[in-house]
Amino acid sequence: MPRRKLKLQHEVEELSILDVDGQVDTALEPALNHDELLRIYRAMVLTRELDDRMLKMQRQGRIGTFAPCRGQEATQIGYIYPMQKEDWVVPSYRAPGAQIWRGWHLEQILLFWNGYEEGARTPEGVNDLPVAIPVGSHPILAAGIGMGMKLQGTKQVVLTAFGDGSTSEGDVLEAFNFAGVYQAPVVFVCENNQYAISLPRAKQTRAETIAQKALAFGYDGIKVDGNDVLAMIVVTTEAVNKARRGDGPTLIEAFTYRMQMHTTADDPKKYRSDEEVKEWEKKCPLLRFEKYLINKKAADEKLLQEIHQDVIDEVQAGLERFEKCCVPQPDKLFDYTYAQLTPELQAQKEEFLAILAQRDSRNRKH
Amino acid sequence: MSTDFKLPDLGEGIHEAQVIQVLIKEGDRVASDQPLMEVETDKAAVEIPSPQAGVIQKVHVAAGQTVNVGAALVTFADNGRSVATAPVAAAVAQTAVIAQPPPPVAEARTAVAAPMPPARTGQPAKVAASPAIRRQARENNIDLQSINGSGPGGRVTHEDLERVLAGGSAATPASVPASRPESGGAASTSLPLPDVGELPDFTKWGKVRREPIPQIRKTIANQMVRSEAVNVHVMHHDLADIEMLEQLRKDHNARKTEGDPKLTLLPFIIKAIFAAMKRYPKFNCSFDHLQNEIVYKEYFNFGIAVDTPRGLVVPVIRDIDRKSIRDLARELTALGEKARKASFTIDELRGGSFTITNIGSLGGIVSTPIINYPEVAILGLGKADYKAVVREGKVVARYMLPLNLSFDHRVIDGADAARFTGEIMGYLEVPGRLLLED
Repeated sequence: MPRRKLKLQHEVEELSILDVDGQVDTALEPALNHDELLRIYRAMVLTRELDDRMLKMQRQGRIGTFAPCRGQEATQIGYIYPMQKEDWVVPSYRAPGAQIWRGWHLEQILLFWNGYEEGARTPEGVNDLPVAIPVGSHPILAAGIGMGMKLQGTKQVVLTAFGDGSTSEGDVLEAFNFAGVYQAPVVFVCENNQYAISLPRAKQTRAETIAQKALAFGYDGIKVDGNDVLAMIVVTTEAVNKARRGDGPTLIEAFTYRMQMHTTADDPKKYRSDEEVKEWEKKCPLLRFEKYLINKKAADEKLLQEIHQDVIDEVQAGLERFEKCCVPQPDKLFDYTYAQLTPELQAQKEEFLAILAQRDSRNRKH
Repeated sequence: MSTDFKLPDLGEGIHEAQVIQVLIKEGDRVASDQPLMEVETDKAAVEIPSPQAGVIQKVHVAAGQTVNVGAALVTFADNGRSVATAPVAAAVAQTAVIAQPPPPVAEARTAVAAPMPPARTGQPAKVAASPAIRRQARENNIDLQSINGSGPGGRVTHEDLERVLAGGSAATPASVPASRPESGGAASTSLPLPDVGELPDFTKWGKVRREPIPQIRKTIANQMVRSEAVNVHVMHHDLADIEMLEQLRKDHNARKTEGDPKLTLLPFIIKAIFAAMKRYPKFNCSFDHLQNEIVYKEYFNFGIAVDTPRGLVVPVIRDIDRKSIRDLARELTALGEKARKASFTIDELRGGSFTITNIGSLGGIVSTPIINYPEVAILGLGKADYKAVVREGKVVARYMLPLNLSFDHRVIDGADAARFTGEIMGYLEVPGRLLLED
C-alpha cells in the first residue's frame, strides 16, 4: 500500500480582451457587428443610469432598500448576451440590467425594490426565476433546472449568477456538485465583486481563485475580467455552447468591483479605503468600451451622447410608469400564498381590514 | 401649494438621523436630485438629493439636530412662486405659537458652535414599539415615552395605544403639547421621566417643611430612575445553607494571628460570585442597545453598596479575580472606615461591573435590589440566621443566608439567574470548592 502522488492535470484559465485603455487583443476579439456593439453599450448605460436614479430615489424615500450594481455593468450584460430566449436564467439581486435585457419591464425593478409582488412576477414569455434575495439560495435551483433539461433532452441551457460570498454557502457547493455529477447544462457565473457586504474576498476563501473551485467538482472554471464586456461575452458564449452540446457545466468567475454600497443600508467607508475605490474607477467597464467603440469607429462622441440621452428618457419614462402604478394596497399581502385563503387567514384579513378602516376614520377626524 | 419633503427611512427600519450638514438655504432654487443635506443614521452617512426642482421656502432642520423619520426637512414653495416674500415676522410668530420650534436657520448656526449632544452618547432608553405603533402615535401626537407599555420589556402595544387614544387612564396620557414638532431630538436623548405633574398642595392638610434636595440625593435618584427605566428588573430569591462556611469563618477568626484580617462573610461571597461568573459571564456584561451589542467585561470590579451618613454610595473593589480572600477582607475593612467619613473619590466609585448590597447586616430577608445601571445584575444579601430546615426527613436548625439577585431580563433569562444563583450557593455551601478554582 504505497503512498504516492496522483498526477492531476488541472489549470485555470484567465481571460481579458479589452484593457482599461480600450486597447483590444484582436486575436481574441469576438466578431460582433456595430449594431450589436451599440446594443451592448446601450444596455450597459441603461444599467448605470437606472442604478444612479434608484440610489437618488432611495435617498428621497421613493423606493426601499436596494442593492446598487454600479461597476458591474459589463459582467451582467456580458453573461446575459449569449442567452437565448428559450434558455433559463436564475438571477441574484444585483443585475437589473440583465433582467431588462431578458425582457423584464423597467418599472418592475422599481416595484420589486419598493416591496410590490408585481416586481417579482416574471413577464409572459420570459424564462427567468424571480430575483433571489437570500445569499446563495438559488444556484441549487439552477442545478435542478439543468438536471431537468438533461432528463427531458431539450437543448436549453440555464445560467445562474451569484456573488463571491455565496461560494461559502453549502447549497452553492451542492449545486456545483450536482451539476457536475449529472453533466447538467448549467453556467455558473460568480460575480466576484470583492466584498460580501463588508467581508473582503481574501477572507472568503483561502483559494487563490474562485474559478478553481470547479476543478474539485470535475469541470472547468475560468477567471475573467468582469469589467471587460468582450471577455465576458466570449467566455459565457463558450460555456453556453458547451452546455448546449451536452458537455456539462462551467464555473465563470467574473472579477469585478462593487463601486457602491452593498445595499443602501450599508456604509462601505467603514470597511474599505477611498484609494481602493479610486483604483477601480480607472477600470470602469463603460469608459474602456466607449474608447473601443470610438477606436473601432462604431460610434463617435455625438452618437454616444445621443444614446445617453435616449437612455435617460427611457429611465425617466419607466420611473413615471412606476410612480403611477405604485398604489399601496396593504391587504394584498394575504393574496399570494394560497389560491384560497385558510379560515384563519380569512379571519386575520378581515380583522386587518377593520383596523385599517378604523384608523382611516380616526385620521379623518383628526 | 407648498410641499414638505420628509426624512425617508434611509436604512432598513431606522427611526432617526442626525443632520451633519445642510447644503442649501431658504430661498435657494434647487434642481431635481441636487444634494440638499448630509445626514447620518445608525447605519451610514448619506447625502439626500432633492426629490424635485423648486425653490426652498423653509429649512426645518439644522446641523447637529436629530430628526425622526417622517419629519419635514424642507418645504418647497409653490411652483414658480418667489419666496422672497416669506416674511420673517411670520417665522417669529410661529416661534411664539409652537412650544419647541425647529430652530430657524440663523439660530441653527449658533447651535452648531454650542455643540449638540452627539446622537449616541446617552441614556435614551427608547420605548419599544413596532413601526406601525410608532407611526400611529406620531400621527396622533402621542409621545410613546409617556405610555407605560404592557408588552414584554415595556413594549407599547396596540392595546396600550388604543387605550390612550380612547382617553383611558391605565397609561399616562401624553401631556406633550399637540404642537410638539416631530423632529424632537430632545425627546429621544433625555431620560424618559413620566410627567406626573405637580405635587398637590400639602399645606391643605397640615404644616410642611421644604428642604433643597442634596446633590448626593439627586445623583441617587437619577441613577435609580435610569435603572428602573432601562433595566427590566426581575428578582430571584433563594436560601444558601452556610453552616460549613460559618464554621470555617469562626475557626479562622478564633485562631487568627496579629495582622491577620478578621473575616466576614462578604469576601467569601465575592469569591463565590466571581467563580460563578466565570461560568456565566453574562452577569458581568452591559447591554448596548444603540450598537446592538452585548459588552462582556473581562475585568471583575464589584461595587459594594455602603450606607454613609450622607446616603448610599457604591465604592468599587477592583480586580477581585486577582485578590485572595484575605486581600478582600482587608480592603473591605478599609472601605468601612472610609464609609464612616464618606470620603470616597469619584474614581473609587466608578468602573464597577457588578454590585453587592448587604442590607441583611441591618436585618431583613427578602429585598428587591435595583440594578446599578449600566450593570445588569445585583446581589442583595438578607440577614443570615438559623432557620428550621428539613434534612434527611428531620427538621433541623441550619445557618441560612438569603440571596436576592435582581437581573436585567433584557439580557439575562430566569433560567440563567437560577443557574448562576445555584452556582454561587454551591460555593457557599461547600466552601472547599473554592479551593478547586483556578
